[in-house]
Amino acid sequence: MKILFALIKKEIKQILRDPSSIVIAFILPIISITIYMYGVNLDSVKITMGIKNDDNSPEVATLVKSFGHSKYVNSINFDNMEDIKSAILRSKIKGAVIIPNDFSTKLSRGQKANLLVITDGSEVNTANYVQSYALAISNNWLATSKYKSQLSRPLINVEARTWYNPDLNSHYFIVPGSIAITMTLIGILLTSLVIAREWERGTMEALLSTKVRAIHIVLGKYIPYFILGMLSTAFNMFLCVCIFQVPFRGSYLMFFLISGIFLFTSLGIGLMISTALKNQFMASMVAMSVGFMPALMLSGLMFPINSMPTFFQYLTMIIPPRYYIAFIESEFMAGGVNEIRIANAFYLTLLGIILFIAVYKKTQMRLSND
Amino acid sequence: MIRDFIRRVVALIKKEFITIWNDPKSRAIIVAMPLMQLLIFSNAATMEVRNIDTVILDRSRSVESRELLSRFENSTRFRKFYYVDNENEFQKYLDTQKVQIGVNIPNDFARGIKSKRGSNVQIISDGRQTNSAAIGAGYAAQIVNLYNAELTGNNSSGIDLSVRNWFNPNLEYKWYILTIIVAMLSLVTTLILTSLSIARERELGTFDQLIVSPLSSFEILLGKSIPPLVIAMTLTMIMVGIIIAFFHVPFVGSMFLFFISILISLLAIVGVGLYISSVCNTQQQAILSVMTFMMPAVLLSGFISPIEDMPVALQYLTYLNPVRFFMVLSRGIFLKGMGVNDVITNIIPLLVIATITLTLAGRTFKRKLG
Repeated sequence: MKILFALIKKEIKQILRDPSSIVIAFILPIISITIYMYGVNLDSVKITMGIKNDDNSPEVATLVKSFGHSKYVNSINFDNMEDIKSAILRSKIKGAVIIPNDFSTKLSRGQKANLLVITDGSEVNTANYVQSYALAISNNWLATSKYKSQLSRPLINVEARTWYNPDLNSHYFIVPGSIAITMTLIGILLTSLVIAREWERGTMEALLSTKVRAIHIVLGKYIPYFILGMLSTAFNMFLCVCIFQVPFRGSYLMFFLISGIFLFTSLGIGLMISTALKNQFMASMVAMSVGFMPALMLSGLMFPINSMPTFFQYLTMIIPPRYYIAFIESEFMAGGVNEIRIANAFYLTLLGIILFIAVYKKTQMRLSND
Repeated sequence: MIRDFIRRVVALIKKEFITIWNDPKSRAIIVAMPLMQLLIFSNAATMEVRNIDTVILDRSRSVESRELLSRFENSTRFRKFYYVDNENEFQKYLDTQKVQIGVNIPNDFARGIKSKRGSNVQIISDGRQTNSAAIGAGYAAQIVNLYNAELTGNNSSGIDLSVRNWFNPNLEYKWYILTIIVAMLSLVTTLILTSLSIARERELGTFDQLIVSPLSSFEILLGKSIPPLVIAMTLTMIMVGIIIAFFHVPFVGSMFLFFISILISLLAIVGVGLYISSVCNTQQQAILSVMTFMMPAVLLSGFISPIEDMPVALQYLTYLNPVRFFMVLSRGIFLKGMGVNDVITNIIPLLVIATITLTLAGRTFKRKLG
């Protein structure tokens, strides 16, 4: 016990001495949450698009105006196709709407009128926005224009509702997601360096020549970084809920409990990497590749897991952030859903224990071999 | 003079290659990690929402409602359907995220259609996944509207969009995400390689020896930037080769311009990495500082949400961001065949960033010795 305390004390001193771990735990969250709040917007994105009107009827001029008035569109008027082409090539506009010269004639005859929409397909997301905005704006215009009598009333009215996040505010899921990213950074990236560093500097050999046992070394690393990670989580939570006013509908007890389990699992990955590789360069390359990047790309934070090919859906099952993101989104937006809490906590605990045993065995092996 | 200069720089370059390239494990990690990620992420990362699971509460149980639901069942976007009898069960499926969409048909559905009075269909999406919720609900609404058009027999009037997606006619998400993944992976690899190079020597105490050697600051700078630049450039070109050969993404631009642009982008990133490395005393500080740079740089690069949509202050900040120009150039030349003039306007900021960061790094070497 005494040995363990001594090791923990040493590690905490090292954490406090190096400002970089404080930066990653407390400063980076401030920076990234601020950016997520003000610089990243995944809903109702404002798109710059061009508009070219070949129909000079006065009614159609109001359609051009309604593009100009839409709060989702920043519209620029063009006179010829060449300019549109070069503007799209230079990414000045994300797409364009072209109103053909027979547009109003066709509408007044009760025929289908064509609206030509051009998008910059090299940015698939914004191309989709250009299409749906063009459709929505022109249909809204049609419903209030003098051609509206031509339209038949739809028999089925779609009443779209979004539960848990009625305003479809994407910040409500991105900002909590950033908590998971910070914890991954502390749990995997920071800790992957710590054992590797001791090997590199030769202090591990010094430690091994003493009476220290494997369990002391392992716990001596888990505990201090767990404390740092939980402090950072609490700070992140404070930023989210108190400063940036992201609504939290769940239970704080559950939040900290399951965050703790997630942190324990992440620490396992980080320590496993550094025990296996003994070199900070390799450890950080691997930590970025199996820890940080999958937490962004495969966790369901940015890309829906359901849409992945089956094999990759199974692959995500070994990625701890997947469970944590599912939990945290639900806890923030829907409040406590017990099935979701239990299922995700179970998988996280399972992965965490497996990793802990693996780290312990590997350290024990190192003790007897090296 | 010149010969001595070259001899000294070459010796340092050799030494740098030996530290990262001689260990087979480290070699394998540099090559295998990015390629593995390229293959996994390119297959998994998609925003095309597929495999939507749906819960259905059909209180009408009529020919009309079954007709509508069969259209859902025949759609390739939707996967599983759960039929429930009451609101509670309906809510439970959504709460526990067994489904992403709920369709609620009222009991007067058939009557409303037959009497031409009209009826409502509720489409509920799970806002915890804001993005895919909106897309999924859009698909569902589309299905209902098609059925609607059939019922009213009205296909003759209204507005039709004819959409052309330039550079990517079928809006293949893969084309878009692959160019981004390659840029991200080369960014990460370059930053880790460079940021650790000086910090490692400082941590191990060999940097002082390098400074008291006959090498000038400029020579050290060259020796430290060329090896990571060569490795990152080779790796990027291999990845580009893979996405052209195996993923069949058409390369429409000029190979020469592409090569030059990537080289200058990587040089700017090498500059940032070396500057970070020169001010850090340990590898941990270097890696964590890299993260503190990289997170905002990627978030504000325009790939997650468009730059025009950001607050003006952040828009100006993106001019300092090499990742922004890197993304614009790699995607612009690859998919859109960007011309010389536009390439040059994007290369100039990168050259400025490279000059400033490399100069700062070189000056910091000297100062740090004192």
